[in-house]
Amino acid sequence: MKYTTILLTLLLPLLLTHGASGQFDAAAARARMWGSNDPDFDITTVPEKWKNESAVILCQSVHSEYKKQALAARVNYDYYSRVRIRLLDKSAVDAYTTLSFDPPGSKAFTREGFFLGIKVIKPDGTEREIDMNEAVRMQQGKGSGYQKLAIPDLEAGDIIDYFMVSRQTAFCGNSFGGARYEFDPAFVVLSQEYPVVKGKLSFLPERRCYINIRAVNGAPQPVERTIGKEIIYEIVYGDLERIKTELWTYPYRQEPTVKYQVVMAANLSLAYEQYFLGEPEKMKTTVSEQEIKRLFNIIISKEMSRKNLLADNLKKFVKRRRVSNSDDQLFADIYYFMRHNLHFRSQYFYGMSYKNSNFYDQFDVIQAYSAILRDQKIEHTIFLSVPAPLGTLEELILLDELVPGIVVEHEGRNIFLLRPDAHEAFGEVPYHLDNTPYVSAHISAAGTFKGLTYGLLPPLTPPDNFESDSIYVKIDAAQMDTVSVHINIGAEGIIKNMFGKWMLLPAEASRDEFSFYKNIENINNTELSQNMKELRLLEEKEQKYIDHRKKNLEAWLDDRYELKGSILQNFAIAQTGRFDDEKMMIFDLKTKLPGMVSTTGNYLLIDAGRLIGANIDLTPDEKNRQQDIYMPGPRYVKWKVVIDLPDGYRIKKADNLEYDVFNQTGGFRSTVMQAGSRIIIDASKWYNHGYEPLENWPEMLQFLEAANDFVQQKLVLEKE
Amino acid sequence: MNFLTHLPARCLVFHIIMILLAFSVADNAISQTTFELEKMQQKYPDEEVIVYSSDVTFSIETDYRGIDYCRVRETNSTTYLALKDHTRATDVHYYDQYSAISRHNVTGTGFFKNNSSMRCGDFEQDGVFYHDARLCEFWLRFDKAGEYLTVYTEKTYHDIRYFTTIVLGSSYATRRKTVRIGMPEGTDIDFIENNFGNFHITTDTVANDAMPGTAIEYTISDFPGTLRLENLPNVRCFVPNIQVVFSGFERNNIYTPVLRNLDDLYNWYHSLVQQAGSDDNNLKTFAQELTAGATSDSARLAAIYYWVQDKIRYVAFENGPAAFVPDLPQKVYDKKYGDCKGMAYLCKTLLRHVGFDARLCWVNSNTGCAVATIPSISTHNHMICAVMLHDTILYLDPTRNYSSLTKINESIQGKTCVIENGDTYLLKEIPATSATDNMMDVKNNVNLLNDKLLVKGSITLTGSFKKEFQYYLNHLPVEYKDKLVNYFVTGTDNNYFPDTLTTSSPDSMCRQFDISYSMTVKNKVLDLGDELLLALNFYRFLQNKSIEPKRPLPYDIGSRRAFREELYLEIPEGMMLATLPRDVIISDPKYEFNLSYRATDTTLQCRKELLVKDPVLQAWEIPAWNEAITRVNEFYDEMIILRY
Repeated sequence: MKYTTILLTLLLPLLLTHGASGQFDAAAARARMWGSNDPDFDITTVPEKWKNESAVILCQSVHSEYKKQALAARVNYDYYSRVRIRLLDKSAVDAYTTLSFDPPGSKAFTREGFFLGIKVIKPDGTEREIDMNEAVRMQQGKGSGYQKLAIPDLEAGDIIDYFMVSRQTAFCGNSFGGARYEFDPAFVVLSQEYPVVKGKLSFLPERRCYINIRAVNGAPQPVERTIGKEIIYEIVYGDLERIKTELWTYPYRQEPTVKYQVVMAANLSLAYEQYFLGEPEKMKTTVSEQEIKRLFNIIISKEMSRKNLLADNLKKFVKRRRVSNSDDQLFADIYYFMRHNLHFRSQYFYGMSYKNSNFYDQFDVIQAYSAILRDQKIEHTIFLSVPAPLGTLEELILLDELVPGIVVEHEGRNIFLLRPDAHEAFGEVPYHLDNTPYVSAHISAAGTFKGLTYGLLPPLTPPDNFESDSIYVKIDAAQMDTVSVHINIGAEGIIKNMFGKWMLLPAEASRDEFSFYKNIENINNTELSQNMKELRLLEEKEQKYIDHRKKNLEAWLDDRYELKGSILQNFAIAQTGRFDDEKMMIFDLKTKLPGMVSTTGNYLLIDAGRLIGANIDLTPDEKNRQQDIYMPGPRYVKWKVVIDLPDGYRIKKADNLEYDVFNQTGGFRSTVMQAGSRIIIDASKWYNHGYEPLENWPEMLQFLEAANDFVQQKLVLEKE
Repeated sequence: MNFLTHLPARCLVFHIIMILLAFSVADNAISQTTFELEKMQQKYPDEEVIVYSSDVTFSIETDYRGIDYCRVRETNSTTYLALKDHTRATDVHYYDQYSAISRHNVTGTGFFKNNSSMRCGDFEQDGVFYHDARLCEFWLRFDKAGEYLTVYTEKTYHDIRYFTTIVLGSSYATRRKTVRIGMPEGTDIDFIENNFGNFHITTDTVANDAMPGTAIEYTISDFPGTLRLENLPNVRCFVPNIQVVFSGFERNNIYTPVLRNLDDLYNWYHSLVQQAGSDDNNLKTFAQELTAGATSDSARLAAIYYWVQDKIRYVAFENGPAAFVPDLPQKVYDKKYGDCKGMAYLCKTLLRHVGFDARLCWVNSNTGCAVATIPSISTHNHMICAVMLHDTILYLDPTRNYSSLTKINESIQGKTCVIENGDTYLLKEIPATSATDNMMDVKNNVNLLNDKLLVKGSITLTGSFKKEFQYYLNHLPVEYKDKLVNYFVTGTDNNYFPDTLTTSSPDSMCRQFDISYSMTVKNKVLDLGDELLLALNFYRFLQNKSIEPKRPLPYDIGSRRAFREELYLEIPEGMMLATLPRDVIISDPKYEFNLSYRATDTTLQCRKELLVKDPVLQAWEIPAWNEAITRVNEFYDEMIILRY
């Protein structure tokens, strides 16, 4: 008896977790998915308005279940999806003629498995299930592979009805003494590549699983439905046109979207819970002001700050290792400390190094900033906003939608402190939060706050995202169709960020950083030596990166000038733009551009417009847009093109290079003049806002078309 | 007393370190001197990794019990040398169900870890759904220039019929590769040397070490490598290779034939078809229904041919015998998919059911260079259906959509095919048409209206142009179909604004496909006050198609094709032509370009004809091609001057 008790006690967890593993198999998946008698999956007719589409999704459903295992730090997560689609033309038949998938089946001794079923329904109603044993196995290596299946007898007019079931288990980490697992947040755009007659998205959170869910942009809100003993949350939608991707859109803002996240927490401690969780197994669709206040309290909580190693390191830096004593310098110093600590310092696990940025999220960073500011008795405001591509503050439901930041008023100006990018300078405006609504808490010198304030982050202006190009042009006497070009480009804001991502090499950034940072922090010899070692390793690979960058630059030039065969002769970064007194990134290159000059009779024609680089060239479809315009931000680009007048030539026509088009949305302006033996073209283009409503599109078109027209223009020189 | 234990620990460690250092320095020194690193870096300045040496030995083992017991054993030892720091290379060996890689080993100073630096398994091959070819990939990593890795593999070919080709070239630039083929006495084997003329290859006959017999040794030096080159032609057509023709062998006075001649090859093909079986009249009713409304032979032929093209999807399985054994027609019909063999067999069966003398026909569809009469299973890679009419033969390839009845697919034109003829076969050359059969023919009438050009025109597509266009038109999702037509007329230039656009029916089986349009064109007129400059070259075929001049290996432009444009501009009243650009007339055995302007008082005519007769340019032909393209580009760029 005693032994039986012991044995059962030991086996119980195993039974509870694996007891059912032998019960769910391919037959069970088939019965569940095709045997559900759901009348929505009996639809066969395509609405008249969609008869000319390539395919129409008659019905699709995705159902997700989450459940913590009893007496185990594991959570089950299962997905059941089914799609019924009518194929109307050859392209759709091609898309479904062959399918690739993971090998179906159950994993031995576990509850996990993947199951797939496919059937074809002919127009006369005949159904035929596809034999999955016909799939061919593709072996990738030892123990890994996938399968491929060619679907027999598939024609336009057929319906293909398939399901996929995935049953998995995750091991949970420990939080506040209990198991916890945070599933990745999901943003599901309901519109698909084909129109949808009917669709369903449903969730079953069980045993210690919490779900936050919200539908936006016209998607129906989730409703509660009871099926037997289970309560599921379901979104039913339909009559959706196929998704049409346009230039300058944010699908999560403009397409019917459902955003959700599931968190399994065995022991929830609200005092430290950032995730706006509600009650277990019950859906939560809104975030209250109380919860926002709680989040602010967590950020400024002393206990949380004590656990935050980043905050601890920042404090030690300020108190003991800072080079400067100046109060004026403090904000810049803590910013640069954070940047250095996240992106240029690493932790080591099993012989591999990982940058600290892998371990600290933006809330850790803001918490650390706030802790040191409170420590220094400096008042500051912590704000939370939702970046435009993700959504709005009113529709907030997930922690991951938020971007936290700090603003300090100092000597009449606002200083922003956010999680720094590896190459952003102190004092740069947060371009990704242009004109974004926020909620904030003002933290007093005593380290407390009273209420919340709502407002709009300041809008950027075009010069905040700025590019200046100087282009010096000489016509190659030996090869008259080719021009030698010396380009100098300076960039700030988002434009700098775009260039920096691929132009600045790791070794260059590290050299820059190490030589600068020793003026900020007194670094010990061990770390200095580590930095040198790291730099040496990067420099060993540097030539390879330089070669790679040269290829990328030539491809960029080809793309920019719409030609083939640019030859880069020289490239140098004069300024990285990583420091507040040198915020502009400046680089210089020399190249030859073929095909920019032609002759006709006594005329020399120079593609002068093209020398500023390609501008947006909209197709008729793009000009006929149907959605509001969301861009990365307002911006301003200016070009100065200086062309050496070839000997023996004079200007015959240049007035076609003069433009002046502007309105409330932006503008394009260009002038031409001759100064001695040089022709100087000045051009500029600006977008006043990051967002324009659709009704402003015709005005935007005016300057966009003007700029594109300019690019087509030739400068005509005549032989004297 | 033990010397080692007598030494103080620190001293011992120091010595151990020095010894290890000495080895690594020596290793590096060996690398530097053995592989002449500096010399290699100067010789191959653009390469990151080269094949420093490769020694491949094939031992043919014949057995008196017959060909099923004959095999070829291959050993391959290839040394890769890094010429730059932080580089990688991949060594690949293929095998299938008729061969196996039994052993492999990698040694050297570079980085390689068994299990994690290699894999053996399937791979995806374009155009083939499933095939049984496998590969073993060895991923070699080098941190420093001068490091090397030697990959040693042993492979056995279990069926000597599948031992067809030995390649002397490599993906990587190769300093030296030696291939040795050992044959026992009594082996009746031919080695057909292909593409040797353009490379440094020496040949030698030596005694066979392993067994009585001979060995032939080929050594190639300084092969440039194909890895970094795009637009290469069919590898067989330029990489030096040896085609193995194994006729038979004698052992213990018994002669066993393998593939002595085309008769043997055909007999093997024929046996595989017999093995597949045949349709037992199940499809007869269907064939008769399909042709019920047809009132002529050509109508009945077309009904069946077009149905197979349209309704049977191309899905290729090439595993083992399936690479040569066609699927049963009934199966192809039921599945509504098949590959060339299945589709040809179905086509043949349906046609025979309605009384035509339709037959299977083996051919090679790759560009260029296979010799159709060599008795090797690598000679043919495609199957079509030949229909014997009383005065002609129709060659039907149902894998190519939108092919009309009499239009022979480009890929098989001029090839010799083997047509089944019961127990014998017929050898026929498939007629070849000229490159002008694949034509994009443009006609434009242009009028000037202020600073815009008003264009009314048409584009007629024939041959490959037509088929490719129709394929995309029918196989793109609906939202892209109009864009495709628009793009074809206007290119990527948004200065063209189509007002009207009409096309032939998308699934038309006519000989040609027509697009008619009218459009307004902006930014092609420059007003200089007393003169107007007009850019009239809307279509710029082959523009910027110049090729890197130092390319060491051939370049494939794509396919034979022709482009023709006739443009008529009505000269506005009160204006006259100032000058006419010079004609461009270039004639080469592989291409012809004729571009000219002609004028009367009221009309300017621009005529362009560009013909690519042979799309493969050898390395030495590239400079002339580039020069021709430069002249063509200049013609396109030159504007017309009208004067008041």
